[in-house]
Amino acid sequence: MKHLILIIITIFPLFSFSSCDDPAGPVGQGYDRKAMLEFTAKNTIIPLYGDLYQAVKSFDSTLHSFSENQNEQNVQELRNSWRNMTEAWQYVVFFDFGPAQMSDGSLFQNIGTFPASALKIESYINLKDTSFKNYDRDSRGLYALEYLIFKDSASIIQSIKDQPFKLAYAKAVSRNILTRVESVFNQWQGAYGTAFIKNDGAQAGSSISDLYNAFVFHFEVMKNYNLGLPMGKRAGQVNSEPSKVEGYYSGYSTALLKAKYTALRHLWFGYARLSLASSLSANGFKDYILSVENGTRLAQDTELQWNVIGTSLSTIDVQVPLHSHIIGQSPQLEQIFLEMTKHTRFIKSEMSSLLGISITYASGDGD
Amino acid sequence: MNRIKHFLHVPASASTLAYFRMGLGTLILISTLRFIFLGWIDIQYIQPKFHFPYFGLEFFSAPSTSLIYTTFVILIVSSIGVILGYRFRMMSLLMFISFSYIELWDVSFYLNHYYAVSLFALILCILPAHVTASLDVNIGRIKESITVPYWTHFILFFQIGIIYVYAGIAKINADWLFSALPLKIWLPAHASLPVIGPLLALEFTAYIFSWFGMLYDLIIIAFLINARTRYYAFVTVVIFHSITGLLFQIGVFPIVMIFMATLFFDSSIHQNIIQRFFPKGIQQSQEITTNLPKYGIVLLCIYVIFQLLFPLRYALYPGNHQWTEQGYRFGWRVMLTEKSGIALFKITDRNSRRTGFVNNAEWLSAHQEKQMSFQPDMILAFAHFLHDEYQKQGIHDPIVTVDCWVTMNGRPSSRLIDPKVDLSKVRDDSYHKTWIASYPGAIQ
Repeated sequence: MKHLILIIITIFPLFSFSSCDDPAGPVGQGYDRKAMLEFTAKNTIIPLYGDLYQAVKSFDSTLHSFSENQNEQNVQELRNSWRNMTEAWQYVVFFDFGPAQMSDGSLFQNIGTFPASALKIESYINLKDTSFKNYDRDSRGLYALEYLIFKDSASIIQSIKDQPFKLAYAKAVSRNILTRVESVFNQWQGAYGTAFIKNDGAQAGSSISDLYNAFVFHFEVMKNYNLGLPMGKRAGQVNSEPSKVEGYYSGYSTALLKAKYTALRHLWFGYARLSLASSLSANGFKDYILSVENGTRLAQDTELQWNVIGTSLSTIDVQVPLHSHIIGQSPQLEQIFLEMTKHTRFIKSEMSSLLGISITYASGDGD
Repeated sequence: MNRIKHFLHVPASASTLAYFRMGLGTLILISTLRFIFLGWIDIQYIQPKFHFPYFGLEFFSAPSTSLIYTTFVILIVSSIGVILGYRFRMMSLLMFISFSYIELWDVSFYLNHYYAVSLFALILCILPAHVTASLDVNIGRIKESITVPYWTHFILFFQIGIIYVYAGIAKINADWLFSALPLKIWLPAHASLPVIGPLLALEFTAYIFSWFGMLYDLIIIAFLINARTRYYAFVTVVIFHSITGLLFQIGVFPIVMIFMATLFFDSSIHQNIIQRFFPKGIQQSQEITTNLPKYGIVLLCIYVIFQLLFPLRYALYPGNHQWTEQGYRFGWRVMLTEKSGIALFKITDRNSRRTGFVNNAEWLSAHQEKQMSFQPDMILAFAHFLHDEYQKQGIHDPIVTVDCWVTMNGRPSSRLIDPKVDLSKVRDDSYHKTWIASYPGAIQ
């Protein structure tokens, strides 16, 4: 044993000091994940859920005003209100963990599933069934509402006259969304918000792992489902399927795509809600990456690619619906898809690798 | 030859083998129950739509659900049988076969320590580990003996030594020693741990751990064998494996290695422990020395030579083996590199030339996708699967190409696979895979 101790004491410091001039540079002093989580919860997640909650409440009351007083002006207000609500949704869609994981699926599954199924919505309306006790989540989210209030572009007033239960169904869907969003918002303001900040490890189930995994998952959703599937990029598709975009009936799809991109980008940069207009400095994944080995290079590469995607997105007209861009085989759209694909190597593979964030619980052990 | 023969037949304690038998059986039983209670049968073996076969052993991959459960039942029953020493020959064989069979289902769950457990289970099959402290003795199925020939101990010590020494040799590379990679990436992720957390954030610590880890693996076996140092060495073993167990998600591996280190203890300690469970043993005991037949010695030599050479086969392949992973498995390269990748498969109809991209998550679990994305043979296997699947969906003889980018030890991603190669037409074999892109760095 004396030999062993002697060896350890003499050899290790010797080697260690001799290798301090490593070109890879110093390791960060241990990133303060708790501070990042606290910043994110207080300045990003909770205010953004607050925005959504207000927007949903406002939609719900607009819907009630409309039902009291069915005129064209109220139709326009209802549609505007839906646009606001759905845009606010883009900024929280990826916080789909913690209280957003409900007993019957996540908030995203329950209110954000797209495209909505006209067939199922009509069928539940015919059955006068608003129980929502089924797995047809494409019949009751934000995009079911969209179908109901945008589908008959000429006159939804007439269509409700023809089928009065439509209005009751819309109210039930709206109420369902409101209840869920309110519950998630309240839990974030209460015990879950505190628990989220405290759970500051990097293992599966830690807050940083939840946040990161949801971020990557929804980037993939944006790439594969907002764009890939409607564009006909998926293996096995014979044609493009433009009607599968998010926000098809409202024609608001291009705006929603841009909002989702901005929201994901803001999360990576660690911007507080509206931070660009406020004095709060950012604290998020970018700072975390900068604190680790080889992080400076990755942060630069990632930032550059965010900008490339942003630039390519700015080339498509937000007023023109995504499905029109797809039908017109817009080369700009091809470029956006390509750049988003390229981005996955930074945010999916290199980022998880450098930060040492576990991807899943169920992955089994390593060796 | 005679000296070797004599060396192999020196009488040694049968208690050590009984202790090994009970310990290994218990470890396998516990890890199997843990596996079941974590719900991993369903997640790892039933849910995925595709399983990655071992090259040449495709037949054993992706069994039916009933066969999966049957195998687990056999494994549990046989491990209990092994612990008790009841019908030991049959039970140990069943334990080895069922445990190893499970490992062959899906290569994405390959772990060095599962391979180690498989080898120990195989060795157990040929050891007279039931000649004392077993039900077989107690019910009179076999005669008790307090001694066994020394080769039965030697083969265990040899196997443990192989694992450590090769793990140590693998660490002798520039990244590990001179850049403290990947530990410089892995350790700071645990900076929030109490007490030791702040230390883990220091660059210095990553170097200490890298060098200590390498030296520990290379020399610990010598200190365990030496009677004067073995108990101190054991303390080091416990500390080392506890720390790695705390920092990395490596399951039962630390316990397995700590247990293996106790085999080097004086056999009186093993005897004391096993007598608690089989108090009746060691009464009318006798010394039975069965001579190993000639073919036994030959087989033993073959096993030893195989274990010495097989981990080195990577040297037969060109390129950086940490990058290409050719000849990488079954080589005790444990927790050696940080790798991660993305693999975007493109499917092209050979007639119409219409292309589409695969969403891997539609076919693979998160774990499978992660493992596949940086291992060329798995990428190839998945490409073949995709070819057949999309052919079924009506695409004519799909051309399957992949845009695969891998990051190793925190360096910028580079292409792992030639993106022009139609993988559906590439057959897997044991030769060098020319479609693997070479590693841009010069790190070896």
